[in-house]
Amino acid sequence: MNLDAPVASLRGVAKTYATDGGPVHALRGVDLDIRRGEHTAIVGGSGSGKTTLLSLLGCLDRPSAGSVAIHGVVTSQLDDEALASLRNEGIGFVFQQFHLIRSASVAQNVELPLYYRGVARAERRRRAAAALDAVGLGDLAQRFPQQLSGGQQQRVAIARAIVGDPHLLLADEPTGNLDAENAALCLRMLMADAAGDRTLVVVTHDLDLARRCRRVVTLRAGECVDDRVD
Amino acid sequence: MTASIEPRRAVVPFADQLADALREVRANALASLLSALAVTIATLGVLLVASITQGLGRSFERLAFSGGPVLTIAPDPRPSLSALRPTRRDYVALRSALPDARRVSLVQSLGTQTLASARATAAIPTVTADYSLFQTGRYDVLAGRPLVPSDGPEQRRVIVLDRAAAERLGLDVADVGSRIRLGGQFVHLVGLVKAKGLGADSSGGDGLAIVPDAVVPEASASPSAAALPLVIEVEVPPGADLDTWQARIGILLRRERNLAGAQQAGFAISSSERVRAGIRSTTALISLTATLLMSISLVVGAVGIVNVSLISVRHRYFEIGLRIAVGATHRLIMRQFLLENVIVAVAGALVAIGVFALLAAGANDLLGGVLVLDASPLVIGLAVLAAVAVGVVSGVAPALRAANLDPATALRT
Repeated sequence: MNLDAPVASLRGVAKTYATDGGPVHALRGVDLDIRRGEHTAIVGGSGSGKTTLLSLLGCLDRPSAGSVAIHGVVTSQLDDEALASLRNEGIGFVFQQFHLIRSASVAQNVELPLYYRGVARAERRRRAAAALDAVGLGDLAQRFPQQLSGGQQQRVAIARAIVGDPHLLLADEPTGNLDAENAALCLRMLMADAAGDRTLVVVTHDLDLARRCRRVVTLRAGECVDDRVD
Repeated sequence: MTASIEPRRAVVPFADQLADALREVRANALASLLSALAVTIATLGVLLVASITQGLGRSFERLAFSGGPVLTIAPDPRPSLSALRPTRRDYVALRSALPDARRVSLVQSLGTQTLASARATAAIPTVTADYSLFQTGRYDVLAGRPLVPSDGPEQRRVIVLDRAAAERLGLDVADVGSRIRLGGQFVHLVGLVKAKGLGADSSGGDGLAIVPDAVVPEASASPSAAALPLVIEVEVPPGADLDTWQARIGILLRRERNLAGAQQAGFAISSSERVRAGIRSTTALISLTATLLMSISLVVGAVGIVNVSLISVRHRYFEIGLRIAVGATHRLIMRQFLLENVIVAVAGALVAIGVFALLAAGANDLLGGVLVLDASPLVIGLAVLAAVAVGVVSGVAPALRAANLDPATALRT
């Protein structure tokens, strides 16, 4: 695996979904390189293919055509175990809907990536506590998601995304379900965490959020129509 | 930040997976409860059917195999042959002609006789028999003694009651030695007995009184008493050829009646071996039916679990998608769902064992030992194993569905 290669590299990527109403082309021949430490916003209207692009970057889906490489390794060449390992160690996800497990405590939710990495329980606890401290929720570790506000839940999701120390942080509309104050807070945390050489890719409708990223990629009808770097 | 992201195989300790599965079982309480209920019903079905089959088999064994091989000479029920039915004369003739027999017993029904103790009067089915009836192992002596060889020759006026008869006369073990009026005479109660096996209550719940030959009530001594059914039993030495013995007895009795070769006799000789073979085939049939019922029970349980588990997987799409997103392999997702099913199956099986123990205790009290519901540790072990197997097998389809979920789609639901 080549760490000098772009963190993610898409070449001629297309994604087509088969639906009852016929095939839907979510992405059409997208070429894109995401470089280390870069903060990239992917913007576009509904149905432009933003979330599909994020799923492909996160190895949650496979392209219908073209190739996706993470650190130079083409993901279509990896089996399930290797892809899982890549997601676990290299990628952190933040979702619009937070996606916290209600039956698990805040700490257990944050520990989840470390659990699948086979990290010992005591070490998991320690690192989860540190991640929660980083998002200002150290004292809520034993609460359950439903006992938290939306803003707090998203901060827990951010803690879960960063606890495994991934190279690439992928956020899908991270502020979409938050009020302005919590959105700003979460955004600050994401940006602060990615201030080093961690790579951040954010899918958003929020132009204010997009403006804070150095690079903005615009998608329309599955095609990359603009790629601007400030 | 991680220096390398070389893909490597995720190893999650089993204890951690178990804890995670237990938490999810608790979190999905309703689905877990319904699945456990299906397993409980299936396992309980297996335990009940297996224990009833075992109990029946044991009761049959007790009934059929007490003592050695036996030939029974019973009356032919056809009215035209009533004059040729077995008589006391046949009994005496067989005793003298078969010195090599282990036992020759006579049991004659005296019909229902009126018995009166100091406390109560009751009409009780009564038979006259000799001591050898008690050598067959059919009776347990609860108090006192059974009939003994000297009771007949010494013309002792004694009586033995079974438990139900004693209860109807208001008597218990302390009353052994007391006097009872039978017809116009008094007899001494010398023993209380309890019949064993399926024939324990062959009197239909009215009890049974057994008296030696010497005690024949006046009513039964009348000429009409000759019409009362009389059965002679011949116990042959172990290993003897029953067909030869059967032919010997047949020739002897036909000679007593001066019957020609083709003439019909008023008796029928049956062999305990035939009964034994009949019982074996009946037990085999019951076992086969029981196995079929058990299989149906397990399949019903499995269908219940599959159904509930599939619904449960559907409700947990996002959770599964999330787990895959943060690094779970399809193998780990599948293992988690199987583990959850096994936990539920084991819990359901344990509940079934508890319920079975309660039911068995209640049923055994109610049946008074006639049919003992008692599952051996082997049966219980196999039932639990079957429940776990059902849990695993029925969990495969839902677990596969969970493991093969497309995470991107699952996260959008």
